[in-house]
Amino acid sequence: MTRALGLLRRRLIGVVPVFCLVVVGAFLLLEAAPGDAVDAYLAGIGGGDAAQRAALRAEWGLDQGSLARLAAYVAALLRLDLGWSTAFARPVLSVVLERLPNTLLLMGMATLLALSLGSALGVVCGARPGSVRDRAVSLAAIAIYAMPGFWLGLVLIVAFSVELRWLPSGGIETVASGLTGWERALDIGRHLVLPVLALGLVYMALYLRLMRDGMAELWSQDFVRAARARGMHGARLVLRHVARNALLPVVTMLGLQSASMLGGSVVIESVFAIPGLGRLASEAVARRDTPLLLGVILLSAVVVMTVNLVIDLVYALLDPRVGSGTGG
Amino acid sequence: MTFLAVDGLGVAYRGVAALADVSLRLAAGRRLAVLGESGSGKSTLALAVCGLLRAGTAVFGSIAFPGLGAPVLGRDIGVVFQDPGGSLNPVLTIGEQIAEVAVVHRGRTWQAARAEAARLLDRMGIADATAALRRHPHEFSGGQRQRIALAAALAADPLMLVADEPTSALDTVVQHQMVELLDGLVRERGLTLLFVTHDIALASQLGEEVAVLFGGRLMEAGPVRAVLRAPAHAYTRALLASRLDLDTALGRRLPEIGADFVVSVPDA
Amino acid sequence: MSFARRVMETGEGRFGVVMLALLVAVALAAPWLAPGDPLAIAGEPLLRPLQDMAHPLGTDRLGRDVLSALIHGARTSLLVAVSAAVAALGIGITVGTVAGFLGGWVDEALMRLAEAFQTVPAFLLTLALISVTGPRAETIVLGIAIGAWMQPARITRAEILSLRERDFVAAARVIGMRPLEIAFREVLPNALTPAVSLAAVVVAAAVLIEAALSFLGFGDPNRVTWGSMIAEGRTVLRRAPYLSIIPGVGLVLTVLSVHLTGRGVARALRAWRVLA
Repeated sequence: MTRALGLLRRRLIGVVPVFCLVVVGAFLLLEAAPGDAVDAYLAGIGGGDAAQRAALRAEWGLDQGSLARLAAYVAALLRLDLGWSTAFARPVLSVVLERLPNTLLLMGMATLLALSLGSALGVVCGARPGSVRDRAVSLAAIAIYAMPGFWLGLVLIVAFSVELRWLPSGGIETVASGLTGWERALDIGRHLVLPVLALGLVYMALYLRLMRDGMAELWSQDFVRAARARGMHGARLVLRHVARNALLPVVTMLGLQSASMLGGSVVIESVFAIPGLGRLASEAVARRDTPLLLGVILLSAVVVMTVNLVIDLVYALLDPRVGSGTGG
Repeated sequence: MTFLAVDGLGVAYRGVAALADVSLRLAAGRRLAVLGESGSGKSTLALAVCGLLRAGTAVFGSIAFPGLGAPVLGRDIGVVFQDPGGSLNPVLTIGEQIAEVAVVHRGRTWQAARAEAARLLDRMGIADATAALRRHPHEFSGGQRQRIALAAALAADPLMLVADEPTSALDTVVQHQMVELLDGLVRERGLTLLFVTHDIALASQLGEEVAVLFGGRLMEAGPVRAVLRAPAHAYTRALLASRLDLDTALGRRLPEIGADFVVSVPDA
Repeated sequence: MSFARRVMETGEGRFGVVMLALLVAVALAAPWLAPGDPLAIAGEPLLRPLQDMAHPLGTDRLGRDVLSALIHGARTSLLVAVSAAVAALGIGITVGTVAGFLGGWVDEALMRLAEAFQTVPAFLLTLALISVTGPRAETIVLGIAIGAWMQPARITRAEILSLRERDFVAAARVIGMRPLEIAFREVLPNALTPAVSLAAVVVAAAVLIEAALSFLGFGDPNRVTWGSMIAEGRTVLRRAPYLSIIPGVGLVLTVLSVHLTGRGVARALRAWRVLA
């Protein structure tokens, strides 16, 4: 337990300078975009004259030098003020927070699918590397990994929504249906099947290959031979001794892929018309709403850092050699 | 009673012969030292006896355990390897790894198996055995890990112990402890012991019989005192002659075994 | 065994190289294989594939030839992807070399910078750049590169750190070479191998990112790309699904061939290094 806490403290300290750099980067982007917050705000409320413009600039500290503006930006962030969204005519914070849960749901379920199916199939393949079963599944995985997520999404829509009519083709729930509780959850679930598959299958292929390759290498390790020498065989050997160790690089990859998956959700949410953070970024670029885009970027960074932290802790739990100072 | 009967054993991997025409007998309760230099095939012999050769290895001849039928690894035969760091699964606790042997082979409950594991660790000289059960391999020193591996090898109360260079990777003081431990355990449990070594002193200290291997062939076999005192084969004579101890005269170069097993000291 | 032969040793290596060579050939020969403007209306709209042999892969809802667009799209995809990979590797290798060789606070700062870039999803980074500069091929290339330089930087830095202590570097120092000179002339060529094996991964990822950008409408509006074809096809998905499916197959084959070639080259490099 203390080992986990020590690790947590160390990681939290390391995260701070990185986030500062992200904030500075966001600020630079804000500066680089044409027009500023005042222009955007006035455009949203129907225009204003030069005097109003100057007054607002002074009030928001936008008539100061760069460093002062950076300070003002950081101060605003600390107040959780992410600026004003021209596209939605609302504070950015409220827009992104509204969309965040949908994206988290999508990502969470996609990760669950990718991890469980990928590990399971990876173990099946890795139990007997080189077998027909292994080669067939690995080939399928390589093909899936090469597919663009949005294309896979469209193919799934054509197959399951257009042709078979089993599942809805978009949205996160049936609009204005008035469903609540368990029924609503099921409705959302039905809507999420295809997007989760589209987002998660590619990562499933990745984890499958990782698990399988890891296990293939582990079979020649000394401690596996020693376990065999103690009479361990079959499922016990495969799961307890080999797979358990092969899980470690998969967990590491999980952390590294969280940013990638968030990026992937941008297209998937667009294909399936899901009101989430990813699609918000796309809308923000299309409507030249820089504060909104930055809000999405900053929030994404926070999500990625949180996920990485959690993954690090999980990894420390799985691998007793981490953080104890004696190798590993 | 013969415990192990090896007849005309040959082992080849990818066309390269590691062992050829090896035959020997080991009586129950006796200790056999398999002696040889690197590349002599001694480890291959031990692995062959255990059935732990790599897939794709060709095996000729026969290995039989009269009176035992087909032995089950872990239950009837315990194995200890040379590298203490490589015998234990890094992510499981040592308690789990020792206890699972008794659970799988002797049908013990986990609780009973863990209690037995603690007793074993105590006998091996691991301090605070009950607490040690919950620790992981990387928390122990090399010597301790070797003893833990030994505990796991004996957890199901096997009839035979096979040890592949059990002390080669340990430093001298720890080696001595290990040898004493092995000696005591074999005596207490009446184990049949087959151990592989390149160290003549260890062979004579721990072994009752010795089999000398060279180039995959058996050069000589017999009671250890007799063989080492009056070796019949030129290679055994050469091995003894090139051995170093405190009485050896200090020279510039070490003696070498040359062609036809003639020992000489090369010119500096 | 020659290097090329070693790459072609496995089935997957052979498939990858052959497929990739085919794609590159098609891309290079585009103006001759499919003369004329791929965006020009060539026939009746929404012809199915194999319905009319003048348009073997059919036409889209405006009547533009799918095969012609497919061939020109290959050109854009490969061009953008390779340029982006070159840029990403260039930036990454340079940063990694400087960090690995100079060490100290420079190393710390650069690695923190890399971490910051890795915390933000690469696609969002690209979108951010495009939102400022507008969607042109050059900015797309740069946008992809700023999301992909980190891994090559880390790998190069790790390689440099391990090479730095070797004898030939000490020898260079003794004869008076300056640190940066040593870095780029002596150490870098040796450190390149692992970064180069990353090239295939970066190219494959770049193909997918460029396609996604085009699909969302952020690609270069003056060029035909597979992504934009898929987006176009989406509007008539129910009537003519083949319009979206065909360009996707092109993408899959491209990414697959790049991956497999990369794996083959990496394996051949490893074997070659062992022997050298």
